[in-house]
Amino acid sequence: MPLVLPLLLAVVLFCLGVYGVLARRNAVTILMSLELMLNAVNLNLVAFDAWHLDGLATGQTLAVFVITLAAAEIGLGLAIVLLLFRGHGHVDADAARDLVEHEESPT
Amino acid sequence: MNAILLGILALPLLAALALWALPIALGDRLAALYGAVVSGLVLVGSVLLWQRTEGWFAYSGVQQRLGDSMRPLAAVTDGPWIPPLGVRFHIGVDSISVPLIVLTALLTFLCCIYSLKITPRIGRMRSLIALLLVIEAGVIGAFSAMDLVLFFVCFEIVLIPMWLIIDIWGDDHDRAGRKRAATTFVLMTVFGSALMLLGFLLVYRQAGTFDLVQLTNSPVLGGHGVPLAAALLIAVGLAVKVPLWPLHIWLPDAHAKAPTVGSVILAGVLLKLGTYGLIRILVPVLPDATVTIAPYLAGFSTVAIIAGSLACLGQTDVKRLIAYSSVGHMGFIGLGIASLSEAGMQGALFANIAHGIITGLLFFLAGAIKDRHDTSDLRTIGRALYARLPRIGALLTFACLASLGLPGLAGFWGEMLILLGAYNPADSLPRATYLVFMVIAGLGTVLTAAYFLRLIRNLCQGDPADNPASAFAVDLSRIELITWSPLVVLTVLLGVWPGLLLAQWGNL
Amino acid sequence: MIATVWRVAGVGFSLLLILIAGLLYGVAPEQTSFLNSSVGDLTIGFAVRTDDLTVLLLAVVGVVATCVQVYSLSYLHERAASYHALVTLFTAAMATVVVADSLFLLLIGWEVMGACSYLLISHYWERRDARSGAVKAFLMTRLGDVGFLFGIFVLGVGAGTFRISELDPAQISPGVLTAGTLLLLVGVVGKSAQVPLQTWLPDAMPGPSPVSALIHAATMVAAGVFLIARLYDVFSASATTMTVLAVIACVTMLFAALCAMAAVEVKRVLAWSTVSQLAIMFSALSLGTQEGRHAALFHLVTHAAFKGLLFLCAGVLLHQVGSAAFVVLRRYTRRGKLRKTLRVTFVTMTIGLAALAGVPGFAGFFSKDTVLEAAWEHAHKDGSAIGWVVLASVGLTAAFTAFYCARLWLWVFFRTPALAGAMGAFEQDDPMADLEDPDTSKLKEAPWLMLGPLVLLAVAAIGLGYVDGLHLNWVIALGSTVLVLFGVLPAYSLWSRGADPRPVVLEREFGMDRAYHGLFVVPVRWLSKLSVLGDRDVIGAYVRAVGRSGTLASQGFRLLQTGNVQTYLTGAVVGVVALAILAGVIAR
Repeated sequence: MPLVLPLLLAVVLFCLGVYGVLARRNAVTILMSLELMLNAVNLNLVAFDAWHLDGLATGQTLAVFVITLAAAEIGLGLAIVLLLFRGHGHVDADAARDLVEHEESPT
Repeated sequence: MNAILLGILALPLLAALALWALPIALGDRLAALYGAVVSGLVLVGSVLLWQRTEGWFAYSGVQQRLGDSMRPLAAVTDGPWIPPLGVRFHIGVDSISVPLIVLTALLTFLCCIYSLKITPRIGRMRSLIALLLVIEAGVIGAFSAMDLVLFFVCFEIVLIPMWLIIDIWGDDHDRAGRKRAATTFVLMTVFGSALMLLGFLLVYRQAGTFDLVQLTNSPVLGGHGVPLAAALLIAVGLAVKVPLWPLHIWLPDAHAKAPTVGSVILAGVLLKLGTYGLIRILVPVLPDATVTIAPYLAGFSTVAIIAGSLACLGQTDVKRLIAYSSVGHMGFIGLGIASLSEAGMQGALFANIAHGIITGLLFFLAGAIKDRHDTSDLRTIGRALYARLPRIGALLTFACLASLGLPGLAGFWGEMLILLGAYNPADSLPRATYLVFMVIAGLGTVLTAAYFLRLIRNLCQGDPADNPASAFAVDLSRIELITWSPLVVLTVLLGVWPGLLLAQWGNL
Repeated sequence: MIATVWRVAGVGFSLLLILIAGLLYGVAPEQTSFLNSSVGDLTIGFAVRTDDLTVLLLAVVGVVATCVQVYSLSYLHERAASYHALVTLFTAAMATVVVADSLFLLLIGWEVMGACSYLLISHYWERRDARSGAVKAFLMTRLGDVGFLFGIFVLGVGAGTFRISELDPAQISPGVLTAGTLLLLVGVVGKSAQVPLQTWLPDAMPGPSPVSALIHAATMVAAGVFLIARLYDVFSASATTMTVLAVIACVTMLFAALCAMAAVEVKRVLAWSTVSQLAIMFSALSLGTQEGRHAALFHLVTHAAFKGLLFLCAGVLLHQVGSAAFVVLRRYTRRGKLRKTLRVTFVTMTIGLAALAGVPGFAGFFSKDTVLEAAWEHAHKDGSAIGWVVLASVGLTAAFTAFYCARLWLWVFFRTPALAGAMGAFEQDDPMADLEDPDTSKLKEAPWLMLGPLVLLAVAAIGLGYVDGLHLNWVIALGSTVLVLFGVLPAYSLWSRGADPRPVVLEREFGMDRAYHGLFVVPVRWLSKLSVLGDRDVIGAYVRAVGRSGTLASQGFRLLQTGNVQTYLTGAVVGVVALAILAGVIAR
């Protein structure tokens, strides 16, 4: 199988993920889009590993790492989303603007 | 010998740290006493350094190439500090730094003694004394540093304590004003030192070392290109500190808002860092490039003399007036350095010391007047100080006469030698231009006299009937007498016996 | 207590000067230098010397200072400590000038005198005229001193030494010599109040009268004459300088004498006469001959005696009457009181005025005669134009001097028969003059502590004329006597008719004061305003603008902080993509 096919698929997945993260409002959807992006990277890793064949299977090892990381990350992310829901009563990323810079300056 | 130098460097720093570490219960008087003891020890140490130095290392006039007459530094300590960068901890003193170190130690000591009785209204003497000691250590470090980076570090160490002193203990009627003054001071000076650091890096790129002794013995030659850029950067960076017109704008505000001891240290010691840097670094390290920029330096100095004096004539605030007078006096020093002649150099060194002593006295007096009237505005203070505070008025007159360069007092010799240097500048410089500068600077001395006489006339003289004495105004107190008399004595002594310092520098 | 100490110290110090002068009399000239340090090729340090000139001037300074100190004991009571201390310091500074062999030591004395003069003129600092007069005196002399300092540079660097005794005109190139002496002359002109720096001396008169006697008649202003006499070899080697000096002196002596003819205050008349008499000394020096130098120094000595005397007499008037303005004195005179009560003062002042006017038999006559004689010799023998000009202007000045002396004497001490007790010509100065009559019963003669010095100086004002030996050129003596008569007669005739015409241009002193004010003081004030505003609104504005632009930029960037995480991320992604493209482009 030519290398380009999995890579193309990864690009599509990644772009979908980027779109989801940047454009969707629901925080859970954003988290799912994040997973998409991570998995696109995983796909890349595995594909390059199969192509490169360095004997140590570095790419696959890294992919396992990323999966672990993604699991941890989704745990944290869902916890934050849960807190957001408890505090604000919604999970709308556009409406959660606690970090906004207010007009009155502290100095 | 080098133990003494290390001692007077480390002692104030450690003492300041110890002062901060001590429990809060320490009283104001005790803190001042502690500061006085420490700075007194430093003063003794610096005087001990004096005896054993002679000559001026490695400077033999710009006309002859440098490095022939290398005289050894005294009290050298030389060790690696940041080896990967080639930065060394190299300190030592020679005859141009020792008088300045003694002046620093003396003024800090007097400020601590003064603080025994007279303190800013805010209190918190413990921190003030500690900051004064940090400044003292930084300045002595800068005066003895023989490595460009070390010089830069010491130069910067001084900055933050001074900023805090102006910001915290400054004029308590004008909170916003003193904040602004402190910020302007710190930002402009940091801007200057950034330029200076760039210049140092260029020097390093050209010469491959930061070591001043090596650089002085094998200077960066060439009056164009990179050496010129380095000289310009260093000169502008130091000119902010000097301060040279038109970079002087931070000075009047900083002085006017600072507490008395802050003004004394700022005028008496910190301004000297700039001129010392010009003499120690710019002239010997970049001789050819210095010749290229010297006429411009002299021109700006001459403008500073005239502009500073004219601005003084229009001031209505005692402290601002004295601050502006520093601009004029430092302009003289700049002119002396820019003449690159032996007379001009020695005059600049002499004027450095004399200005530190006389302006220190003037700021002490202005502080005393301000404390007694709770303002430094001439119109609010009123006139006829001779009737209300006769002794302080008389001392103010004395200090003004000394500052305007009356022969027989310390202020004269420096200015005289500087004018002589401008009359007879180094051969590589355009003489006619310098003659014009000399004449303008000579007229500047008349303007200097004019504004000091105006000050005396508007402050000391006048009809006592219109300006009754206020009930709280007491004349010269004992602590003031003790603090000021060394300055008065030195003013007269250096005035009648200039050889005391001139012999120290010998034939450059 | 402190005042007493300073009184004793002051009198003691001036007596000491006389003693030193006596001890040094006849001692062979020698020089000693001390506290030297070398700056480059030059040596900067101090040196003192003794010679005839030193001894002469020390004696003059000592005697006048003693008279003034003793006189002041009873003249001055308030702020006596600072007064006596300053007078003593002043005397010491003058002595320094006299003994100095190093130009820098001389400069120290020279300028310390200026500072003491400033402080003493403003002794009555409550008075506005005293304050402004003091500032004016200091600034104008300081302006001259800048030239003086530059002159020292030029001569010292040119000759390679700052020692007076080592200055050899033969070894200095003529250009340097002329430039140096001309610059020194600027200082001399400032110190001795010659045209065009003359306006400070009349305005220095609000100071205490003994100070005027010491500083503004006998010593400080005479220091200029002394300096040229000291450096006579150097000065006379430059013909240009001598010509300039002659022109300045001739213009000044006539100018000042004319101003004195219209002044209406005793001290102001005396001040202008001082300027005029100093100019006579300078004119004698400008001849460039040894006779000229001798005549100038002779006139310096006699002038110190009679002008000191006159100022002390004016001090008595001020002390006893309260004012030295003609109009006030006339109120006493019209009752015939002044002359009868102040008998000693009247007699001594008459002697002083006679000496000043050059009445035969008094000291001023002989010394002025010597000047005329020197000028005549120079003009006649060497056929020099300078000699003729000096001769003519000194002669003319002699007539003017006689005029204003007679005018002063008559109007102050004598009733005018033609006016029958009215105020006469000075009425217009004071509209209340006729209504207000002073209480003349309280007027009494001054204490003997003040009169003693007067008598001593009066004796000197006669006797000093004979110490030089009588060697009169009878033609010149006769001529100058006639000139004095020419001056006295119009004064008498005007007085007897009760008229005192004062041309406006003379009363305003040729408008020079106002011109200087307009030319220098006003522009400097404008420039100072400009400088303050420039600092605040131009240089300060740039600094503030830098600060403000920083604040503005931070406000602008803060707007990007929307709080929407997705916006930030979009920015980050765009940035990453842009960087990647950039990296690709660069890699290509």
